[in-house]
Amino acid sequence: MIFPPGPFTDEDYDETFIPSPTSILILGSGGLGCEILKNLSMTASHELPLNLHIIDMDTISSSNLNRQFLFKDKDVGKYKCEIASLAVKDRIKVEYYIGKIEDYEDSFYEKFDIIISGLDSINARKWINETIWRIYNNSNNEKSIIFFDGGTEGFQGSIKIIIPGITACFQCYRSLIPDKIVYPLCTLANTPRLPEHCIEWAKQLGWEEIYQDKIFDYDNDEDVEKMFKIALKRANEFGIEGVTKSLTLGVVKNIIPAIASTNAIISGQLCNEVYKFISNCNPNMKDMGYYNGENGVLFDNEEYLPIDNCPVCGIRTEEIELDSNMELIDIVQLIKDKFELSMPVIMHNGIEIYNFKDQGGSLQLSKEGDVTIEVVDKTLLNGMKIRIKYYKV
Amino acid sequence: MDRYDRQVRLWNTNGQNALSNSSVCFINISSAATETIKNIILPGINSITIIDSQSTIPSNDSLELLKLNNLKSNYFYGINNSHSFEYIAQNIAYNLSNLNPDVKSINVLTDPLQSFISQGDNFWKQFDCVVYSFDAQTDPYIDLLSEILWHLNIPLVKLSSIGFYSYYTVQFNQLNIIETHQNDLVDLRLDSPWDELISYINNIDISHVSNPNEYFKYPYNVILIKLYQDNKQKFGKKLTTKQIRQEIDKLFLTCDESNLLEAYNKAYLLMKNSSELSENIKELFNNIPNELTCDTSLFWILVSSLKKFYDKYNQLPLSGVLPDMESDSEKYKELKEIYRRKFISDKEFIYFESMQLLNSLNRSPSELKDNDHLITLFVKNCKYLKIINGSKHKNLSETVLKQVPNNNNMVLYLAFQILEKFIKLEQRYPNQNDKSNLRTLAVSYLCGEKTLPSFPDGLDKFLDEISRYSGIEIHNISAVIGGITGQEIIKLLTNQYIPVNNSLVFDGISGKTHSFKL
Ligand SMILES: [Zn+2]
Repeated sequence: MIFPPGPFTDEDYDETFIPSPTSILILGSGGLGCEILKNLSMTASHELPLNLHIIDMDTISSSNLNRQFLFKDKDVGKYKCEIASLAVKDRIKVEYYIGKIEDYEDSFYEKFDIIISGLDSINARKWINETIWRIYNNSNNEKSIIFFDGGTEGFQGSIKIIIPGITACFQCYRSLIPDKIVYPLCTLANTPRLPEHCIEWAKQLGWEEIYQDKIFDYDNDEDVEKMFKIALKRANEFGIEGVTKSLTLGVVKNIIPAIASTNAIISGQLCNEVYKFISNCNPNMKDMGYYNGENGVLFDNEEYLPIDNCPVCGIRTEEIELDSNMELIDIVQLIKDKFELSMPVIMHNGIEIYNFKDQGGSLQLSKEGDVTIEVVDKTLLNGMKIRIKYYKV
Repeated sequence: MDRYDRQVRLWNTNGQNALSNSSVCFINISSAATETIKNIILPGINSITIIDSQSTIPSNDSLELLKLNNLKSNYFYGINNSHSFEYIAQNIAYNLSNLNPDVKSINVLTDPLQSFISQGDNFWKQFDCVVYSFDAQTDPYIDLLSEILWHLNIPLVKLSSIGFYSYYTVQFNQLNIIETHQNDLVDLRLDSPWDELISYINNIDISHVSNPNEYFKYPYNVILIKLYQDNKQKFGKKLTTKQIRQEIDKLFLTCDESNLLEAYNKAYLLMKNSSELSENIKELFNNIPNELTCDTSLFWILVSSLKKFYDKYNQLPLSGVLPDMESDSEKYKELKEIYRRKFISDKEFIYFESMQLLNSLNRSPSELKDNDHLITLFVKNCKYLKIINGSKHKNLSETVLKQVPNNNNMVLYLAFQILEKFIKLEQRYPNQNDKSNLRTLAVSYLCGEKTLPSFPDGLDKFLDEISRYSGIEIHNISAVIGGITGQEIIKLLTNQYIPVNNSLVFDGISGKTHSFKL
């Protein structure tokens, strides 16, 4: 697909320019991953070369088949990323990696221009986010891997476009992600009222009473059946109705409902943004997109600002107090000692006032007040802001 | 049933049964239509019928060539099939058919659409939903089809996707939705407890308790109703939320009785007037047919009984759904039983009223007896029942011209109308040399509508953008609109959640949808 310039394209858009191949890593080949792989296999072309890679540790189970359309009944038990790569092989060659994302080093991830996540685990997405930012910081802000994140729950979904140094990072969104329900232990132990209380009791206390050292495996149907029996016995003791095997599985596995259509919508839009980003043939949406299909349909997006004190991408803020007679060189020495810096570069209002290479510069302090300077140093992960409060002697 | 575990949690077994008994017809097999089919095959539709007469052998017609070229954006058009197919729909159907062994059949009909339209109701009534992808050759017959489906009350969906843009519209006569899933169905009825609940509460004394464990037994709604009713009796006045909270404050012995804390926080619920009808229900009651007949659906029979219930008790039936509340297991169970019994007796009222109505219409009692689950759902959801009145497909293009001056969200849809006029006129899609042609066509189209004061904002940019595409479908956009269409079909077939009424555009440049009713 080559489109001539249009009313929304950048001035420097040139449809005859063929970019060098873009290396893309897809995280997860589940509901979103299958769709992403299909979409990118349809996006890649001679004019837009893509090198696709996919990583997943899971094997296929039958409850995947209502949405993970690259798998068939005969594939149950096989590795997801292997079968998914085989399924699209007529259209594109895909490298696959069976394993956990945490098993790979920075040097593995550095090879990619774009990482697209179709993972449902929040922790795994936080982990890759930190990795991407670490690579960015360690390369002196030169290696910037663009991170596209998708997530779904039932009829709802979200998309994040994360560009190191420019947008908020995944960690910045943490406050928007609801925590999972935690039932108080007293309720579970003494006053259960809901079927969920009985199941959670079985998981936390009942299982161990009977099976001691045997670890519960929620992917093992026999184990789920045993857990269900324990919960049901507990429920009968308290006269509580509604413990079923399906509910038991839902609670112990913390199952999030998932359907083909939401996966299609989120992955389609995710890959649409990737396509626009690489081809430059139209502008990207704003960095945070959200979808809700429960009541009518709403797909919208807005800007989401980085959180100032984000532990991953935020700038650390420190305060020091001193008197206004100090020269810049003394202040620098004090900062170097206090924060154990060896090669600091110091900025004030966006202008460099000190660089360890030439050591010149000055900082004008008025008689009383405060001033904020920014410090960058190789040993700092994110850089830091120092608010200097000073007083006349 | 393992295959559907993750989705049954959203639409329950009754929704799944509805899907597995439904049959959907697709007219013209675009990439967006193919994605839609995938998204309803995977969750377990009964069967699919595709009407498309495009052969795999190219002719010289520019629209046919484009259709074949757009197969490049269709993932399910097999590129390496050992089979050779005469028609493109056969190839696609073959590749879709191994997605889900539960799907009974994917039929391909290659006769022209008009031959099926001339068969009338008899052919079309086998479907539960019909989906039409825009195509210049078949478009002249769609108004006829729209008439047929309107009378059969079968939804007609239309979709189209070009470049970064797509739209979806749906025609349905009227929807009667029982399970909207917009609320948690909890109905505590704090302001007007019924006899059994009152006598239960009268036997409780919470004012002279010395052992803090005693308090802990009672869920917060018992505490709230007790305080409210006692004060109403003693002083003949209703307490405000603030006064109730002061009363609760006096009950604390240790300050960490979790049920009292809950009662304190939820005290405002007492002010809720449970006999007041929502706008939804008022509209529902206003729409009850003047005369019930043999053909009146069971839904309206039940609604008539619901209105009788309300007229008699000035309340709707109780849902019987109780949320979790801090309390002792025993007391919670007692309370839950009281709510459940009230639900059952309210449901019986609806059942017997409806049975009388059926009798008076000489209808079979089995209509009710065989539908106990439906009646349970109806009564549980009765506060949130919803009717949605749709519009006829053929009126949409007239309405958009009237409404567009007041609604910016429709401008992209208007651009699609102009595009379709262009295609029908020129028998080809516009390309980058057609910018001025498109604008000229837009002006002449808009001038026909005298109420339109000026060229709508942004229309020229949409038209210029469309002229970039030369009719090309982008797979990612087809995936999005195919996802949305699949989801909307599922809502229509299961009669759950709230569907779009009746139009939606997806703008893949801004990454936004806009919905509106035409
Ligand atoms: Zn951050």
